[in-house]
Amino acid sequence: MSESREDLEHALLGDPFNAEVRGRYAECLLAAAQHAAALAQYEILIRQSPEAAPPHVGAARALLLLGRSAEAAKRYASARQLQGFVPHDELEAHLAATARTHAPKLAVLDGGRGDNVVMLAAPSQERTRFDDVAGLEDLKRTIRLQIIEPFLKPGLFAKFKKRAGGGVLLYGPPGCGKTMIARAVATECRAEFVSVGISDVLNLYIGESERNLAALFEKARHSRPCVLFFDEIDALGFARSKAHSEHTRQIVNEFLAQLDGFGTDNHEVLILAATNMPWDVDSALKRPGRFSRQVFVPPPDEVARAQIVELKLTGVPHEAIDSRAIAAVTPHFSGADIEGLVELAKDYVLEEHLTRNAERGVQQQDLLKAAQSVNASTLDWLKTARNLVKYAGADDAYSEVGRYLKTHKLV
Amino acid sequence: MSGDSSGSRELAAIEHEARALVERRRYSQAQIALSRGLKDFPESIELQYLAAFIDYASERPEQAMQGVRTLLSQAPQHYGARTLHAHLLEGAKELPEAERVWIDLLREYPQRADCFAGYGELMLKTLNLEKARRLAEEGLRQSPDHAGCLYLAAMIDLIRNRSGAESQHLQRMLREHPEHARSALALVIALAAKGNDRGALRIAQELLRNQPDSQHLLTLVRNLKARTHWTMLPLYPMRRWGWTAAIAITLLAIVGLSVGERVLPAPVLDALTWIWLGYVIYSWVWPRLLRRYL
Repeated sequence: MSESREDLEHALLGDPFNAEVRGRYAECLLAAAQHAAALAQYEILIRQSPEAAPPHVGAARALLLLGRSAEAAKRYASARQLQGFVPHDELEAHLAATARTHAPKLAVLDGGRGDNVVMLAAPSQERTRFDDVAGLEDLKRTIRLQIIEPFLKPGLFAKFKKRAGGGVLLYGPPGCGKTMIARAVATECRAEFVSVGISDVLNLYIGESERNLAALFEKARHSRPCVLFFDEIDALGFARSKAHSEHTRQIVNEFLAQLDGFGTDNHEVLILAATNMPWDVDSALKRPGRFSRQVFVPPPDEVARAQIVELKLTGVPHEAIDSRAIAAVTPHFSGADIEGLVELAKDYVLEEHLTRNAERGVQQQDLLKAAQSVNASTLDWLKTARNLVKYAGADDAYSEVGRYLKTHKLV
Repeated sequence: MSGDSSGSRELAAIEHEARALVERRRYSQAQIALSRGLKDFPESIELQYLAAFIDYASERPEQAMQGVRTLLSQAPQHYGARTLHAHLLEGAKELPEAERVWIDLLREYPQRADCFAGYGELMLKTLNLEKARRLAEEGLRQSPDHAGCLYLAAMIDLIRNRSGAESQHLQRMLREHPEHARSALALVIALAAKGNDRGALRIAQELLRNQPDSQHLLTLVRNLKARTHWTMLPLYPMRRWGWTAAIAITLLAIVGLSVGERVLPAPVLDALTWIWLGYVIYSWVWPRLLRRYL
């Protein structure tokens, strides 16, 4: 005899710690397509008996139905270790499909601890090209000459005793497109793109972080031609003189060994890195043969800002917009700042639409009003860079920044 | 059981990640990791401590104080939270309260040199030099190479005019902790105290290059740049010997002008008087203007 939802609720009111009844209630909610409510019930069950597998499996089912498939897979994997685990067909199929589509090409096992696997981001299907990066024409020309062409035409450059590959450090204020440029470089080089963040490397166990790093380099060598991109390199290659822990220093040592390619060959592996704190990057990483080429990615110029405004308004209802005028009132704005500005302008339009029922597109006035409310986030970075250039007697490493600051009268 | 162990492993991993990010001064990222962790482990004392520390390091003292007080209500014996509390109280100029916290810590941890260093620095701030010296000595007896105690002792030596080669503590600090930022800072102060402003400026610039977002270092470099500017050359005696030189120059001028009144013609005396007044005004106004201009 099947129980109704009301019966189960009534039973739970009388005995809230009855796991069996709560389990049936959660099943009932799942059957009624109330996935979030079912998940909440499974969470209560997990708190009541954390060692039992069925509530974890139930929660994984609810998560899957809620579209949170990554969390579902994680929860289901943890349920495998628990008491009373019974495989669930749908989740098994989902896990297998996930493994086929998103699994890394290389996984490093820790020799026993099955949960400790280096997960690499799957290569993105959308390829970013240089044309997608608004403005920054000088920078693109420099990168093409110094990075892409040697990679595409190694023979020509070999005649002049220049090798493809090596390391390039992109630095500049946050939100100015360093990551986008790195992706575009990979596309233009017709190479695989592997992006690495600090969380891909850091591990609690001694020696594991170094092994993770080595595995990432190995993967890049295996998929050559490849662009290995380290986002926020200052976190991974933090200056050893400033580090307090031996662990941090050892990661940098391993990084140096991998860049030097002892016993291996980094040929056709282009190593790109981005940072907005170049002064925190270990100086050994910037020496020749490692990240010897350092490229400053400045905030977008006026032409680029106008292009970004137009790009962000594509597909959005808007009236005639003078993007150059918007660009003129947004000096030093980063791409991210302009995106924020356009979002704010859209909010103004929507607010008017909802309060006064006035249907219209984004107007010049909305953007100008938004420009007054948004501040350039690059200014803090530029002030810090000014301290370096003007007061710290910085060497040639920051000459490009110095030129930028002088051109924009910030020194 | 395994659920518990997987939970504690997850907590340890979050703590490790947050600590690593804090060490790298990636405070906003560390905060994201912590809020994720605190959602799952709201009772974790270590995560709460790290959150308060990030507020302190990001110059949000009020939030940090609130976090520390909440934390201490749950774990009144937490060492890190108590030292952070003392530093926050010092920052808020609640010095007697800060002293009480340091004394409590010293009673419970009489072997920890960092407690002696912390309390000693507070005494140094309040110009209780003798007490600060004894605290530094006791800290160094517990831990002979402790950077904080060596720095404190070196600073006391400098204040007592035992700078440069005469300061054993400074020498030891430079020998034992050459890469410690405080060693370099102590050296800058020692060189400036000895009148070697150019040497001090070079080291201060190196420090600023390492940490260009430090307002404290920026001020130090600007001051040293102003002191080494060529227009400051006429003020060298006062920069080198301080008030002694100022008093000596004033007395010399008064005596000189009094004698000159009798032997020099009036226009020459007037000119000398104006030059002297100009020099006095210049010595008061120009350094300030220069610091602003630089």
